[in-house]
Order: sequence, then structure tokens, then C-alpha cells
Amino acid sequence: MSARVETPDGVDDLCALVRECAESAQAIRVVGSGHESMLGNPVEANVTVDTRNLNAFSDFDPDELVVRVGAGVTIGELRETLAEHQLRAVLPEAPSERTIGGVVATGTSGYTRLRYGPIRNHVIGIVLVSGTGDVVRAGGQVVKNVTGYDISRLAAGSMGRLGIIAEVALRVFSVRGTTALLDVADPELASRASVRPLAVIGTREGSLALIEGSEAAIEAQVGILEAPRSRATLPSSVPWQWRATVRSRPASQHELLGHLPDAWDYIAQFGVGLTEVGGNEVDVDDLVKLRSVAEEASGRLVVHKVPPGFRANLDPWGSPPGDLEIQRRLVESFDPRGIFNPGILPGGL
Amino acid sequence: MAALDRFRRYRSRNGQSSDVASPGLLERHLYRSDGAVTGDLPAEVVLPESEHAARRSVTDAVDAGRSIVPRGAGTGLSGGASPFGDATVVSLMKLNRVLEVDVANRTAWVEPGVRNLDLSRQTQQFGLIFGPDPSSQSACTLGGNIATNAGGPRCYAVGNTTSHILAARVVLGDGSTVDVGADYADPIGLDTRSVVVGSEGTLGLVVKALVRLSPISDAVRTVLCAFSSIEDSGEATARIVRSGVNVTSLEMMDKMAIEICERFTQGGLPVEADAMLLCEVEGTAETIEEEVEDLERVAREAGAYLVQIAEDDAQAALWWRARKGAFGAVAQLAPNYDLHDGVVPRTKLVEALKAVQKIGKETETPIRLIAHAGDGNLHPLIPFDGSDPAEKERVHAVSEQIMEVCLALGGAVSGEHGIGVTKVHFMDRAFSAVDLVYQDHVRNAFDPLCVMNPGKVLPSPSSCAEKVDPTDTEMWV
Repeated sequence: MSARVETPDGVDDLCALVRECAESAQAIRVVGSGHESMLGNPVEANVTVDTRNLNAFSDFDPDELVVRVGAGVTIGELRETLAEHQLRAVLPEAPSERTIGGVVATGTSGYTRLRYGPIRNHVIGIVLVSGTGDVVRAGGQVVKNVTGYDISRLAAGSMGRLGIIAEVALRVFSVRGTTALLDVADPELASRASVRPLAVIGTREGSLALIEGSEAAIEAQVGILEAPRSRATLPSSVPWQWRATVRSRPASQHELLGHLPDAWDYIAQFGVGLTEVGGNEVDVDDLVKLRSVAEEASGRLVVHKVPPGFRANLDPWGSPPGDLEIQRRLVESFDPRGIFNPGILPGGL
Repeated sequence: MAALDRFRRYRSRNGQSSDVASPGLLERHLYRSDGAVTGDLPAEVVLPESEHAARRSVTDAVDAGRSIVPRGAGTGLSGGASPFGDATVVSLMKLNRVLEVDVANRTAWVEPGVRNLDLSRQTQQFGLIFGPDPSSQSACTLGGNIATNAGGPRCYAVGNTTSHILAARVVLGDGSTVDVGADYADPIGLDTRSVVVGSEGTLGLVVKALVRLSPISDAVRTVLCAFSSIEDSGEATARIVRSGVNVTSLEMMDKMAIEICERFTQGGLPVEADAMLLCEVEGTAETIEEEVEDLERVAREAGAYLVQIAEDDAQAALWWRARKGAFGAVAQLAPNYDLHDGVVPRTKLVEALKAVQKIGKETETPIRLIAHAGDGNLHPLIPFDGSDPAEKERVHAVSEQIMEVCLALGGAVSGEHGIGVTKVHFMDRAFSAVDLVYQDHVRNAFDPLCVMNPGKVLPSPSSCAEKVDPTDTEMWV
């Protein structure tokens, strides 16, 4: 964390701050709750911009199924507000302090992406402050929009390199009836079942399918999946001391799990191809081995969090993507002085 | 000059080449137009049959000082594939193979010339289809779908094409290729695939793509709801969307649209109604009846006086033929039609529809209203005689007013057809000058030579824009 920490209260404040930093060539580290503060290459910055005060609900009409919020709104607050209106978004389950700006910037989706698709599919509008302090608006607040290049979606997962996300318009979904968790014996099969579960999650303790509907519909789904109701709860990786994700094709997931050391925990999102791995004690050699297995299977292993001291010896991203040159040009045009989270992306972008 | 020599060598071998076809003058005239807009006669048309040939097509055109206009089936409705100035049209219709279907991962690698419906026909044996279903799906290609980020009725549930493209190989304006996206969850770094989809050929030529396939539902019901007012149909739309009933398509037609479609297809549509909704509901054998019951209850509460469930697949197909045949149906009325695809927030749908009706009344222009209602996506359909310059001008003016309505209600000027040239002059009303600078940055990152489909998507003074006056373009359908 740099010595100077700024918490802008609005977009105007943020623009002024960015302009000042751009003119004086001061690098900015952008943070929300800090939950993913160790994701990506280490960043050396003069100023930390904490976006948590950009926390207004700009626009929310429950019947529109769209919510427009400041980047600093927490996912806990957003989830609670949506739930009051029987709505949900594809938000990560925890921790509730995470900000929507951080969630979008890191491209983090919730378990329900099996049903709805990843969060980047649902970022329908965005307000960014670029590296020259410009306010850039893209997309809008309609659920279908092909007016210009989809910069909103491009910003999802951009790790702040295109600009500081000030506001996000997000598509949300109606909740139907209630939800239930089932114990499933074959999670791969369950993830492909005709009942289309919201999520199918596997851990060392077993596998769960999250379904929803009326009581009658849930009973019908219990029958189709031949799975009893579970007494478990959805797992969380928040307590882990270290954490990485294996991104793969869905059908490779099961085989990849066979390569995990016994001491590791995992949370596998079946049908999605995303597996969180982690635990208490990290072994860099084992992580490197698993990365090799993942990349041979056409996937990636991304390191999200490791204890201090390990970071210097571990490339967080693995093999760079094939479009690095295009990514570089985009970063340089949105942030010409290279002040936002410099070097955080693959290839040191 | 090396470039000129290279061009001459290309010309001399053209015609003998086995992997690039090049039509003659007469055929080239066919490539002046897409589904709506007539441009200039292209200097050349090439149909590469391999990735290598596609790359060569690009470099040869650039060496000859021409711009490149990528083209699929030419069913687009905004002039995106219509050439202007000294252009080479690169038709991707001969790159038309399904390269690989991966059933376990529910994906397929396809070439851009594969037709939308053909892909689903090939994969349905595995219980899978390609989700987006534009009305032109029997003709339009996946490359065109990617270029326009195409939609269709099912996109209410499954999202536009962008949600179904995982990766793509793109030939850039310098002839190099770049792979965007990934075949694993969440590409690392910037997701450049996001801007390639919907870029209307201005960033590069997509020569192959990894598409996501969607499972075919166990049970599907098609439900027709009739209303005695537009307001009731709008209210029903809002309530159905809000209810969470598993509706995958939610299509609206007004009285004038119902009448013309019924006359064309005799599909049994309720011609006495002021508005109707055509809904598709999906589920499992065990849950579908509950879904349909819930839909019927919600629709009746909102004022539907008739809720009819298709008795069999044949009746459902007939209703869908009536809906998707709307554009053919208007050919009975006039030789040309104008169709836009503005979007409004869903809660503003009725307000938008009534505003469009008012415009029609005030300008004495019969407008058939069709909408992907669940998405707030309007399809006002205006038949006209393009041989009458005054009528053409009047229809242009009406279209402009409709797009103004969409913007004024907080919407967008295009939901699925793209900007092309017909809406490019609206971009500076939809976005600020600063926003457009950053849109231009995206273009320049991919195409610094400004050779890929210039004049489309972004208005002047974009560094890549050629001045194309949309009122000079000729609507030809």
C-alpha cells in the first residue's frame, strides 16, 4: 500500500485526482475492498485510490431488471437490495465487503454463472475514468445494445488497466420461488442435467447442486437428479491462506482434480471449467506442476493469493495470451502514461 | 514499386488460384448491397477458401490501396457489408466448414461462412444448438452474426451472439492473425474478444470461431397471448419478465403487423387483436406444465383476453413462420421496407411503441410494429416504394424520428443489427465526443492502417471514417 491513499467521493473528484497523478507521473494502485489485492503482477504505486466512497445506487427500477451502481457499492449491499425485490445478480458469494467495481475489474463471477453465464455477459454499461482523467461512458442501461464497440464488456477483467471503473450497469435476474441444495453423486452429469441447476459445486466433502423453483418444481428436480436435499451449505474459499484458480474446459475438470495434492482444498464449479484451489500451506513446486498440467490441457492456472515471500517467485498468470500486442495497444491508448496498476496484467502490461 | 508488383502478381494469378475465387463485373454488382443498403461497385470481390487465402486477400487489397469490406451472406440491415469507395469485398461464404464439434464441452469450431441454422442442424443430433436465432437464420452466417453481435427471439433468454463466442482467429489489416478469447473459462488479461464481436468487420476478418452450443430443452411450449390494447401487451411483457417464468422468447406484434403476417402465412393469428405476444416456454417434462400455467396466469392478469397453447409442433411452427416471415410479408405491400432495431429500457416499451404509432399517424406512414418485447428491442417495419424519391426521403425522416425516440427514452439506436452506415450519424448523439475518441482507440488498436471497413460504426472525425452520407445510401430491399 502506498503512503498516499485517496478516497474520491464522486466522479469529478476522481477525474481531478487522476489528472493530477497523470501530470506528475504518479502511478495509481486502484483498490476496492482489497480482497483480490494480490491478484496479478505486483504493482508499485505512489497513490492508492480506494473506490469505496463511489457508493451511490444511481438507478434501480426492479421491473427493469437492471441496476446501475457506483463502483464502491458492496456486493453484500447489492445482494441484499436485489433480494428485497426477488432478484439476483451473478455476484461472488463472499466476502460481502467486496465492491462491485472490484468484482467487475477482476472479472469475478458467482457460482450461478452455470445458469446465467459469467458476469462479463451482464455488464451492460460502464463509466470509466481513463488515464488522462476523461470520463468514458460505454454501453447503456438496455439489455441489448450493439451501438459501438463493447467497452463495458472489455472492462470486465481489465484489472483497472483501461481506467478506474466509477459506475457499472448490471443485468439482474428474477428469482423464482425458493432455492434448495441437493447432494449429487455425479457433479458433471448434474451440471448438464435438463433441470439446468443454478450451480453445481464440488469439494472434498462432496458435491452440491443449487436449484430453484416452487416447492413442486423442486420436488420434481429432486426426482430427476435422483439427489436428496443436502444439509450442507455452499463452500467458500475466503478462509484459505492461499488461493489459485484453474481455468479449463469443463470436460477437463474432473481429470485436473486428480492432479491435486491431498493437502489442498478445492471448490470446483462444474460445467463451467473453473476450480478454486487453496489451503493453508502453499507449495510453489506443486503449483507450478499443476499449472503445467492445466496448460497442457489448454487451460490456465492463475494465482490469486499467496503468503508474503512467495509472490516474487511465482508468475501469477502463466503463459501469456496470444493477443498481448493488441492488449498493449489498448492499454496504451486508454492509459497513455501508464499510471493505473502498471504491470499488473499478463506480460507486465 | 514492390506493392504494385505484388498486386500485379496477384491479379495475374487470380482466376487460376484454387483457394480464392473472384467474380466478374456482373456478379460484382451483386456485392454492392447488403440486405438494406446499396453502396458503390466494389473494385474487386474475392472469396477465399482458406485462412491463408483470406490473409492474402487482405494484404493484396491493402497493397492495391483499397479498403476491405468483409461480407457474409449479405443479410445485414445497416449497410455494414456494403462497399463504399475503392474497396475489395472479401466474402467469407466459401470458408464454410464446421471444423469440430466438442459435445463434452458443448462447443464447436466453425468457419465464418457456416450458416446459422446449418450449425444447429448439424449439432442437434447431440442435443445442442447455437443459441442466437435471427429471423434470417436460414441464410445468415456465423461470421455475420459475430460481426453484428446478432440477436433473435431466443436472445431474450440466452443473450446476443457475444455470449456465445468463446474465441476467434482474426486476420488484421496487415495480414497477420491474432487469436482472441480462450477455450477455457475467463481469458486472462483484457478480453479482446468482447470488442471483436459486434465490430462489423472494422477490426479484422474473423476466419474461425469457437462457439458455445446450448442444450435443447426437454420440453417446449409455444404460447400465443392476444390483447385488446398495446398497453396490456406491454404490461404483460413487464409481468412475465419479472415473474421469472422460464420464457425463452417474448415477441410482440401490433394489429397492423398481425394482419399482414396472417394474410401472408395464414398461421391462425388473432387478427382482431390490437396486440399479441408470441412466447416460448421451456422446461422439463415434469416442470413445463407449471411454467405454462404460470405464464397464462400472469398474461391474463395483465389483460390477455386469449391465451392459446400450440397444440403441436406444426401449429407452433406456423406461428413462428408468421412472426419470422414478417419481413417477407411486407413485400406484398411495397417493393421496399425500412427496418430499425432501436432499444428502450423494458419499462419504457409501451411508451416507445405509442410514440412510434404517433409518428406513423402524424406522418401518414403505416408502421407495422414488431418487437423482441422481452428485451425492449423494437422492430418498426415501414414498407415503401424506393423508386419514389419523395417517399424514400419521408421514410428516412420517420426512421430518424424513431431512433430519436429510443435515445430520448434512455435507450440505444441498435440492439442487434449494428450501426453500419445507416445509424453512424447517430453515434455522436448516443455518445459524447470523448466517448467516441475511446471507441476510436479500440479500432486503432486492431487496425492502425484504417483499412478494415472504414466509414462503418464510427462517425467522422474518426481517423478511420470515410464520409458516407446515410441519406445518400439507397435502400433496396
